[in-house]
Amino acid sequence: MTVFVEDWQAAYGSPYLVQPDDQGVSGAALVEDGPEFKAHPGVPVNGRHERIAFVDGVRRGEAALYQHDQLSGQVARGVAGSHACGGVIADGEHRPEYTDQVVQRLVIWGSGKTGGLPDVTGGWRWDCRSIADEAPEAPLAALQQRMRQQEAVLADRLCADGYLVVVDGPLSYLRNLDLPVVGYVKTHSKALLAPEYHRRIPELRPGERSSIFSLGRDRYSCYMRLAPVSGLSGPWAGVVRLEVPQSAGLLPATEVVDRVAGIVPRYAGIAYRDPRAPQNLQPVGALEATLRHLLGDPGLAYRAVREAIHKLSQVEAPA
Amino acid sequence: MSELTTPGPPSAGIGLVDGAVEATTRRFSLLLQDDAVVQLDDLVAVTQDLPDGRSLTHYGIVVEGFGTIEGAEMSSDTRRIAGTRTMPGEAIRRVDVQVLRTVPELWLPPAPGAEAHRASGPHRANALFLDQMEQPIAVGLDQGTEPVYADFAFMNGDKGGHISISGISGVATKTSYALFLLYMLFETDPGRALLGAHGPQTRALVFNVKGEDLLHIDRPNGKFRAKPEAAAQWAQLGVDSPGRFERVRLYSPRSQSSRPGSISTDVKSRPAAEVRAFGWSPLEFIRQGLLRFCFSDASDQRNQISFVEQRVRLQLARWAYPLENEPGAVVLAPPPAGTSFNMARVIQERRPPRPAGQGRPFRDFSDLLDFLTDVLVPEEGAAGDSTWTGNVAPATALAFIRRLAAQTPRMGHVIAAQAEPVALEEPVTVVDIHALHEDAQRFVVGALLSQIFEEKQGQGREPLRFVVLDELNKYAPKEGTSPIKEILIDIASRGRSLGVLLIGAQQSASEVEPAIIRNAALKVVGRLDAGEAGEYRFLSSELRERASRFLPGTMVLDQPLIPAPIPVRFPFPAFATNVSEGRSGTEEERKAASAEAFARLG
Repeated sequence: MTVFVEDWQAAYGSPYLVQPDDQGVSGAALVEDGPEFKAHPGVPVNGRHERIAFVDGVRRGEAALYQHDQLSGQVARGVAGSHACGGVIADGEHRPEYTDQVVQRLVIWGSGKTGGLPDVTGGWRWDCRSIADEAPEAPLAALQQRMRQQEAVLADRLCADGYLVVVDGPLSYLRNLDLPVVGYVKTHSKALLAPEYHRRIPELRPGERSSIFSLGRDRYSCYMRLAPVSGLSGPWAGVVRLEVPQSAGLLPATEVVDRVAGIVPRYAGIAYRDPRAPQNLQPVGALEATLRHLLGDPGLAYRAVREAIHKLSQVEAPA
Repeated sequence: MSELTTPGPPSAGIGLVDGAVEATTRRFSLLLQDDAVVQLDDLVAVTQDLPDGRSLTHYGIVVEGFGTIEGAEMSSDTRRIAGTRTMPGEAIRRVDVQVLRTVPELWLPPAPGAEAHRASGPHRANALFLDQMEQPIAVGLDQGTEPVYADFAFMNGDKGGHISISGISGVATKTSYALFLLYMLFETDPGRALLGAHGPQTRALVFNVKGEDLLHIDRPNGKFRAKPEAAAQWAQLGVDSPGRFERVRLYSPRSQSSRPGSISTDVKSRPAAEVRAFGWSPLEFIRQGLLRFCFSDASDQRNQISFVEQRVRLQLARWAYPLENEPGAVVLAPPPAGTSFNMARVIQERRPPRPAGQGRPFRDFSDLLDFLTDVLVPEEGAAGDSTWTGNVAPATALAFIRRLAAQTPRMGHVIAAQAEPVALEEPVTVVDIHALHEDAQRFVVGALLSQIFEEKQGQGREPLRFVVLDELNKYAPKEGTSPIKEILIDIASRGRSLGVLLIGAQQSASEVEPAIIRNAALKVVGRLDAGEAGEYRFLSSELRERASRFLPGTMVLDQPLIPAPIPVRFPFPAFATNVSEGRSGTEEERKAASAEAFARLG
């Protein structure tokens, strides 16, 4: 038994969360090299490369809200929060640039409740949404879901604009599954391949990707090791998973995967700079930081919510 | 006085008032637009609409610039953003602005986020208080070669007077700037218009303390044509054909080696006929009480010598009779009974000349030394004549004589019967003192300043007398007292109303009597010694640091109307400021001319 240490900082947990007895998912099957698992060396692209767009989003619950029905004693939960998404476009030659950064500020009510908040000075205004779910965590989950949707919309658009698009996270929310769009998955919560293949994934050397496997009926996927790792790091250090739509067929999908696999290693995160390096790519790390910044000061946001609720109470209960 | 206008929208925007940095009534930051080029000293305007409906414009001067890449948290991020280009980041340029003025005068900060414009045209005039200036005179050009003005009312003694110029030798161009100001006043139409009806009687006395440099300002500058930008700069100042000082009289001290009766100078770079030898006749020496300037070293004031000097000065006046047939020379003989002991009264007496035999003739400084030795320290240990010594101890009288004897070779030659006094008959008079011993320099400066000051007493402010004096620290040092320092302090405090205006220069203001610096309405600083920069509190810390890197020709001008010092440049002079410039044409031009002559002959 060898002892390793996780590259990610402890606060971010581990990117490898697979249970030891995980048998893989039934819908996953190796397709590229027949039923075999192989390592495909990457072809690193130096200098200028095709125009690539990294898309990511952030979200933040800013205040938990309640509606209390005095007659029934029922409590409905809601959240006031914000989400933002945007992109970074790069071509290896010009300075990477931010694009299409959008912020949305929402109040989401669970239990089918409604009710907006009045605007507050300083530019605070909320759009109101309602979900049927009564679970306490449902409003926040809805916020996350909306962020993913927003990411997917931007990814579709940039893809249509001719960019090779890399979306942070799996492709689940993309409506239009046309190439070239690639999901970039940093964490591994469950095994996808059967155990005999799954245990061979750590054999991948830096820059190499695994054979492509199908994932259900809509996606292809493969693992790749992004960057060289130190002897101290665990076997899964620096391993990410790419997802591409199946709709165009295996050959075009393979071609897109190879293009991305050639480009992303140079954008790998820097260990001392990013607690989730190397998986968290540099443009994505910078994008997350600016998006978080664009959400505004969290203290001010909370204060604005309180002020809005205060206004509301005065309207409802005039003196 | 031009009208204060509220001009229409200024030129295109250059940036926004930075909201991440607090904007105050004194300072604010601008976030620059990507296409804006804004450098130090640029003037900006920011207009906001107040809640009460009024419009308020802030005018300011850029005092510092900053650049950073937002998103770069570590220095190595810069490489990722700008080098390997794997990380996005936004380059930000900011400038800090010092507020010069608000129109209308409201003590409010600029609005964060407000758009800033370059202050040009009427906005620039507002920023530099041109509407407040009764008599604007161009005193230099800013970075963008627009003229910067000062109010002549602060130069002519009306609201203020005196100019103090500081900076290290060689690169600070203190004298050049003083001459530039004189040129603007005396040789240009706007300058003459400012001097007005008294213009023809206005005089400038310039002391030349370095080489024979200033003995050439009445000649065109041979190197002027090699500087094509200079003519354009002069034109910006409203001077279309800059040239030499037209009417200058040059004085140099009577030569030390001149025989009795001769009045030649030691000047090498000009023909003898073009430079007058100056000096004082024994009669003038006594009547003006110039003996006090023979003891102008600060250490002379700490002992009893000054007491003896006062006594001797008065006695000389009481004993002096004109020497028959030798104008300027004096016969020293006992005064008539009842002669006053009041100096002012004594010198008003019109005494008939006497022949040499009736007393001790005083034709030159040695005669004076001999005479005073006899009356103050007679031989064989006898006590001196108490009417002359004032009963001081013999050792003090001896010290006085020793000091006077030491001064004889230093300044004796400027006291001679035939010597011609300095007369301010031309608009500009240059008095060369560079070759004199320091004590003699103090004597000459003290004598001339007191002469000018005396002449102006009771005459009113105009016509004005400008005095350009470099190395002010020699004449009015911070520590100690001396007769000449007293005169300079007097000029600094009262000269304004008498129209005697000092354009003083020094390496470091800290070495000069503070009252003199304080009284200067215009303070000008050229290149400063980095160690000295701390002394100039009227400069912002940025400017102090920057002043230690100024190139020749750049000065900072602090004037009462404008609350921030403004850096200015002045053009290369079209008059010669040293021997080589005074020659016709440059070395290259002459070489080319002679080569061409040979070619023609060959």
